[in-house]
Amino acid sequence: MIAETKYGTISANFRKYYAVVRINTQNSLAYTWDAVSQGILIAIFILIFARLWKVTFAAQGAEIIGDLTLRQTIWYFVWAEAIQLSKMNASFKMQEEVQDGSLAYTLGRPYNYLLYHFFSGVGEVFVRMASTLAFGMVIAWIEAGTPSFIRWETLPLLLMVTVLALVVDFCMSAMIGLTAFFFEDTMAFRLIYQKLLLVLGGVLLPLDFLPDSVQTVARLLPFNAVIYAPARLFVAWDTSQFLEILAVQGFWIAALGFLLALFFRFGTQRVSINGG
Amino acid sequence: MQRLNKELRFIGHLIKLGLAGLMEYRASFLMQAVGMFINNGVYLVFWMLFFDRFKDVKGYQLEQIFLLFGFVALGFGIAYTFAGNAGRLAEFIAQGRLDYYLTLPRPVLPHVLFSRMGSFSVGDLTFGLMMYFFVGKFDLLSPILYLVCAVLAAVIFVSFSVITGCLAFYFGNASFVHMQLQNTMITFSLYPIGLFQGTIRLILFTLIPAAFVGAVPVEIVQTRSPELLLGMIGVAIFSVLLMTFVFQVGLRRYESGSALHVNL
Repeated sequence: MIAETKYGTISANFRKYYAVVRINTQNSLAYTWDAVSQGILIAIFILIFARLWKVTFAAQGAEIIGDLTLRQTIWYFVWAEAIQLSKMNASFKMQEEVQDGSLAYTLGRPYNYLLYHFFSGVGEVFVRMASTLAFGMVIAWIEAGTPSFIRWETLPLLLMVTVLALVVDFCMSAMIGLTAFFFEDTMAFRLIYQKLLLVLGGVLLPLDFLPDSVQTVARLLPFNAVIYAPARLFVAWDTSQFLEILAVQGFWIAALGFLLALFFRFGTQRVSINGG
Repeated sequence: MQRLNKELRFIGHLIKLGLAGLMEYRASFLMQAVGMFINNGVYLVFWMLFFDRFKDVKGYQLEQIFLLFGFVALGFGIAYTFAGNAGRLAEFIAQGRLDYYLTLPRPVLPHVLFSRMGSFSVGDLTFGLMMYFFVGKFDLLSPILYLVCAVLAAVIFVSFSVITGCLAFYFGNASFVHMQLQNTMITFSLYPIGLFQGTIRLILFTLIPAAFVGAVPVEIVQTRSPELLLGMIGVAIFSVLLMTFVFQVGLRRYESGSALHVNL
């Protein structure tokens, strides 16, 4: 018996979304300068952060701050910035589709609108992530030396956590994009979300370095599941922490995914198509 | 002198028109300006959290960071609010959009630069002005020094943007490199200069003059050194001369475009 969904069999769906990922990956490969630009950006960020934390560790006379050594701190930023610079830009694309009305066309196509955006984003992430990691790792290697603390055998599990982080980010980002149904321009929400990721998500500094009260709040929010959690595992693997992160990400994906589906349903009810 | 007055009046007129254009879409303008204001504020939150735990970075404490952000934001804000096309010069050259300006009886470079006002950068400008109140230096000299240095920083911002934009005269589509170099300058200018030594430091004082739009003005306001101020004025004048020279030389290589453009 073949399981059927609204848009066809599971294997047909798999082939369909796989094709979306493949086409978008090829598309991103055509724009190599875009990937290189992200690579240059991460190189500058890693260089600056490396200098900043070298000076800070030296001034403190400390070997370890917030359970991280200097070397771990610098390498933490490689993974954190790679996610930050590579993640999907779903909110902007969705806002544009709502604003210019092209959503009316895409809604009628034989795919799930949200899944289509997610998988087309995945295709772009592959290319950008490869470029940012390559550039970032070279600078981190020069500035901090060999990352002997990284357990490369855990890389598949780390990639899994990173993919789940992208799903959490997609849920929040898509919800922001869909607010265009109600507010037209979503730039303000997008900016606020980006900034929350910078401070409470762990892009600018690991949560371990934040004051205790801010840290407690940051750990309760979903932003740390996007950046901090995978980056922290990258430099300090801990199996029990991995399982904990998996549970937290699972919770946020379920909660935010449910809200996103509701939001999408409610928003599309407001779409009126008038020929043309 | 008469000609200079005439050109300055012309620039004033362009700015007036640009402002009227921004006011046409008031809600959007306000949203963009407020968005940029929030954007800058978050970086400041990062430094506040940082200094809550660590007290000093190469002689910089929170007060110096406020000053540094103030200078960069105000300098950038003045530069790109008034010379709104500075960041798009490479795009203009590559697309042949200088044709429009070349046919008019005005100096091309100032006409291109000032014929559009930036709306996002108004948020930077406001942020830069507000930063000064956090610093709390309210004697007679400090605010004047602050404004003078910010204007000099703005001149350096625009000059750097034009010089890097002129790469398009040689490489065709240089918009990407142009944007990257501008971002690099801003990023480096927002961190204490003491973090960078050797070659990087040399680059930040020469090829990418990030030190002159952030760290040097901070030093001037703190030490009130007339030598440093004179040095910064010299750098600003030199950058304007260099910008004019590079643009004029590049313009000889300019190739007209066949695309139709509408200048509103």
